[in-house]
Amino acid sequence: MKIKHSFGERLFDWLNVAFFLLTTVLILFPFYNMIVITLTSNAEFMRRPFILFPEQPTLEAYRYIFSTALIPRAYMITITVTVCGTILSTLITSMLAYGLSKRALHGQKFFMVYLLITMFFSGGLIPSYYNISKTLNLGNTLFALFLPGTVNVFNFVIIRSFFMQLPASMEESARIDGANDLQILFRIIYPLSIATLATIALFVAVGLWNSWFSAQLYMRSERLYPLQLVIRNYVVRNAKPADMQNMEGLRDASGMRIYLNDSGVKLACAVVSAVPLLLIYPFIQRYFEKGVTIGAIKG
Amino acid sequence: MRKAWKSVAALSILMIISGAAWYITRAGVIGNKDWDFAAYGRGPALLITAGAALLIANVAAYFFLPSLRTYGRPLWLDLKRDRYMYLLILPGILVVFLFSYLPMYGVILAFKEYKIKSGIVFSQWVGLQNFNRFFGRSVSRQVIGNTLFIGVTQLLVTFPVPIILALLLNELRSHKYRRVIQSVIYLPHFISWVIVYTLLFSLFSMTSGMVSKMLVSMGLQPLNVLTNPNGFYGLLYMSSIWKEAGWGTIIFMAAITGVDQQMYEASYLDGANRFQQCVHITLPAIAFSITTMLILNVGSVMGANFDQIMNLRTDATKTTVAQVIDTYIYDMGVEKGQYDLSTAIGLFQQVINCILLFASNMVVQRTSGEGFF
Repeated sequence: MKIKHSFGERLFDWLNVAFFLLTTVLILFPFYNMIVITLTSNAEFMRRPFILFPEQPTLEAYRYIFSTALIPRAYMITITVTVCGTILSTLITSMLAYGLSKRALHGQKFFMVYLLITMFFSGGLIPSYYNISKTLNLGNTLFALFLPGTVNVFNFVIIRSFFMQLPASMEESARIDGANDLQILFRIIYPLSIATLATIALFVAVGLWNSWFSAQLYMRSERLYPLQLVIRNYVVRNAKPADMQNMEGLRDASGMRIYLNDSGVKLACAVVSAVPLLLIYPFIQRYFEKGVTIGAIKG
Repeated sequence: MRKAWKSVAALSILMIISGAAWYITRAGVIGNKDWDFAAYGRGPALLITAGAALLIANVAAYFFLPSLRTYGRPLWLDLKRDRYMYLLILPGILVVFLFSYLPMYGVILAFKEYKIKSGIVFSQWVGLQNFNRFFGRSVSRQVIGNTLFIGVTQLLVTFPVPIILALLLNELRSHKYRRVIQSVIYLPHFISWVIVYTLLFSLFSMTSGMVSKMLVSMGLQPLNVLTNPNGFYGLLYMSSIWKEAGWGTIIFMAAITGVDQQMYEASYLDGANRFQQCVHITLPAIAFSITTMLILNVGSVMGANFDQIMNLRTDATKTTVAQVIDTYIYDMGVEKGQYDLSTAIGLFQQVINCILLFASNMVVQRTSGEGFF
């Protein structure tokens, strides 16, 4: 059908396009500005108020933060926690979801209530803190960072409802062929639900990657701090990490004092923590979007 | 006969619980504060043993006597058939027990005076003293007031934004352009609040922020965005919108995509313009999503933004405008070590949250016929 557009409509269209262009700039510019500052030398950063392109881009901030012990170590901690936590959480939650998707299982109702209760009641911050650090004695271990959140009831509900709408005929025919429940889950159900499980895993991974609070609660040793907590202490609380105290006394090979761009170093830490996500984001974006709509639950 | 096993089970469990309660009351609660089994343990132990024996006998009868079961098939056969299923759910059940149920007994700290050497169980009971301490201080009114104020105003300010964005996105003619815009506006959702603060710092830091430096170079005063108590709420609203508004459009866009395109064509033939189409077709189509999301958000109005406030508050704001219940619990409990007081405040907050959550879920249930839980 051919639709004729009036002048007002065309004006609206242009304004709308312009509005979203502006929105895009508002969202992307802070990232761009941050990256530019990390690439700027100290002298230039002091001299120019607004830097769209650095005159002489330099990687010294990155070279510096990777020369300290702190950032590579924190990076490894973050990666370890994210990988272990994601695998464990997706596996345990989906196993639980599969078991409880069968209404014929004795005690299924009881276990459902058992799980849903935890959405309403919890001990609260201090009892959980006491439980993990004193009763279970997990303080200062990486387990404290990913074990407590292993079973997420929201994710459980999403996976379970996905399993429940899978056709039962495949399971039945496999059972007739002599497969047991474990074989059915791992050989038949999992291959069918890779997309859903991957979506859930992505959300879990982003959550673990971005988390800092449990580390602040349970990690007494700075050697176990994940990246986000290091950045938080450095930028948000403005406390320079012990491993970066040598920044003032840096000298190059000829003994000349090197002045690093202080803001650049701070922001470089943030950039390296955000880069993995920014790099893979375009490829996985549609999975995230799907994740919100499969459960019709807020992400 | 078929129902009898239930009453027997209930009786035996009651015996076990009352035995345990007897022992705990005599040993732990009434002044004695140590587990002197020889002095206090005999009677309760006898009761618990009897209860356990009864329970075991009862369960054994239930398992092996087919006459107790509806289909005349002993339960243990079912359990044996499903043994792998129980194996599958075991780790999850265990984790939930360890990290969700085990801490729950700690709530009794709210009614005790915590001493490190006595632990949770043996600390003195003090009744409502911790609650009186909190509500007796003027800070309680400030903290609760801030929490409610931030929760309500932030909801009012930020809630309409994703709806407007979704309606405008829907009006974009080029689908390619729309896809690109959607990718961009979802992005900030995945950035942590720590990084959001870092971005704000790179723009608004008084000494090295880009905006501040530009203002100074123009001979103006730099804007105090980050540490200004008067602008703190504005900072909260703006950063929430920047981070979450784009992501919030997804649920509305999904509802809009479900609208039948013929409706638009029919309304066009009837002479409706795009604004009228938007108001009379698109908005009613997403009205259900709007009410649902609104009710859900009302349910979490007390303390949905702990992470945000923890990262945006500064020394200038942390004891005044930015102090909400969640942050107060953290400051008192973890930083100052007043476990008892902050457990009491946490319990108070949880009761309110629970009521809000149940109420909002009930409203959703009424309007849509099915709840979320």
